[in-house]
Amino acid sequence: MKNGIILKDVFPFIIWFSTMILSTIFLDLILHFFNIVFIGRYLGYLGTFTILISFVYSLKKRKLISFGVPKVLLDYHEYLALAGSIMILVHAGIHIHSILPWLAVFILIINVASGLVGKYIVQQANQTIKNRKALLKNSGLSDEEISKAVFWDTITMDAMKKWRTVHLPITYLLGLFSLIHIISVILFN
Amino acid sequence: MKTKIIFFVITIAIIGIVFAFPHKMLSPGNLYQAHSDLNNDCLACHKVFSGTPNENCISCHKVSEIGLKTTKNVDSTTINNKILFHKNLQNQDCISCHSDHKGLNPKLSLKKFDHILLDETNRNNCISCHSQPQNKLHSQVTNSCVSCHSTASWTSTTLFNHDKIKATIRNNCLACHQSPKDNFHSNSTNNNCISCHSLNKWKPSTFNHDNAFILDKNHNTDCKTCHTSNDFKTYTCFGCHEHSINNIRSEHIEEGISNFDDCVKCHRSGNEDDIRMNESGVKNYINKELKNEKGGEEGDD
Repeated sequence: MKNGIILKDVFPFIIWFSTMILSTIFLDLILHFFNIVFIGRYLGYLGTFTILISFVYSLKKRKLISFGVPKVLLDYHEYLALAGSIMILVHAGIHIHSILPWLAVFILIINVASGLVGKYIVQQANQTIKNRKALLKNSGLSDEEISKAVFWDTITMDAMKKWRTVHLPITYLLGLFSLIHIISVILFN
Repeated sequence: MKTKIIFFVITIAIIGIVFAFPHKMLSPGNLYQAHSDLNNDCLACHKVFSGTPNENCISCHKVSEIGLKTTKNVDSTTINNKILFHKNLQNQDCISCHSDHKGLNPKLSLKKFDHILLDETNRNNCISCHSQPQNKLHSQVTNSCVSCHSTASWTSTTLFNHDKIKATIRNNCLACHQSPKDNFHSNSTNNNCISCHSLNKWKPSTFNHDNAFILDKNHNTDCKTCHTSNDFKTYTCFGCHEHSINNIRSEHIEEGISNFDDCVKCHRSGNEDDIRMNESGVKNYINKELKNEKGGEEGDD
């Protein structure tokens, strides 16, 4: 288990997720300390715009655009979506009274988690299983023995792949909640 | 195709919930107590695509009557006179101060007031809204609040200048400051702080003990060794084992000096040859001493 998926691949996921939460708290404290909380309102606009830009990768993946290198666009997608999410979380703060914005914030956090699963756990866990299998093969184990040795890793891997399949619906829900929030703000300000 | 149908159903369901429970889903919070009857009527204050126009507020709250009458036409001048300042606002933008949707307590729905909303005349006339604090300091200063305070906060950001205090009472330090509770700053200083301290800074003071007596290495001691009472004008040199009247009597009587109480009258430091007066001064002093002694003896006869 020393070199297993959880320690090697889940740990970076926790680090990134914690970074997002801690960055949000830190930025919120700065806004309150300097009495510039009004900036939080504009971070909502900026965060939404940043996340929308990150969707260029999604357009490329679905062949709706022809420019750009997928790997580079994926990197932009990851970092811009994370940065935009931090801005939206600062914008939301804890000053929410109605249900819809709470749902939007909740689904945003789930969406970031889902994205990080894709980025770290699935990518790196695949690599880890490959490396372990190669190592075990070099040490002279039969295919059956190798399958037994990596059994739990494989089970974990399958579970994680299902996570990836829900990333799109979660993003869709986030978009829907955000849209209703934006329309209600435009209507009633 | 199946996925698209699921997405469509979810979308319709969420939009349906928003329409079914618009206040629970969208309202940013309860209105305060007096507006609670408007809780479910967003358009009473909000206008679609136009925010919250002042006209909707003013239709009930006439600016000229705020603080004088309630919206139910009841005399409210006894409630709070301070709110009469509303008529002095140059731009009557209600939501710049009143945010509402913050809960039942009306104070929660008040944003921080910004003096920039007042016209210039009223902005510089602080006492038209604020009363002067009833404490010693503020009863002695002029009415120019802005010389110490800003409209951003009451806590002063500028260094207090004693020139603001009326000249006739500027030296009455104890009217505002307390005398330090140490044995040096006792009643003996008699509110005469400026003899040592300046009006700009408490430290450094100009007090110099060397003017009275030089405290050399043999006299580097606690104040109360010499100043046995709280009155620092009195002292004794016989508080330590080095000096006693018996030790100095014969030497001083020989010179014609019989008063052993005021040593620093002649001695400027612990050096017995360091005499404050010149030779003629010493002679005059001794003659005076002898005269007093003689007068005393004659009186005794």
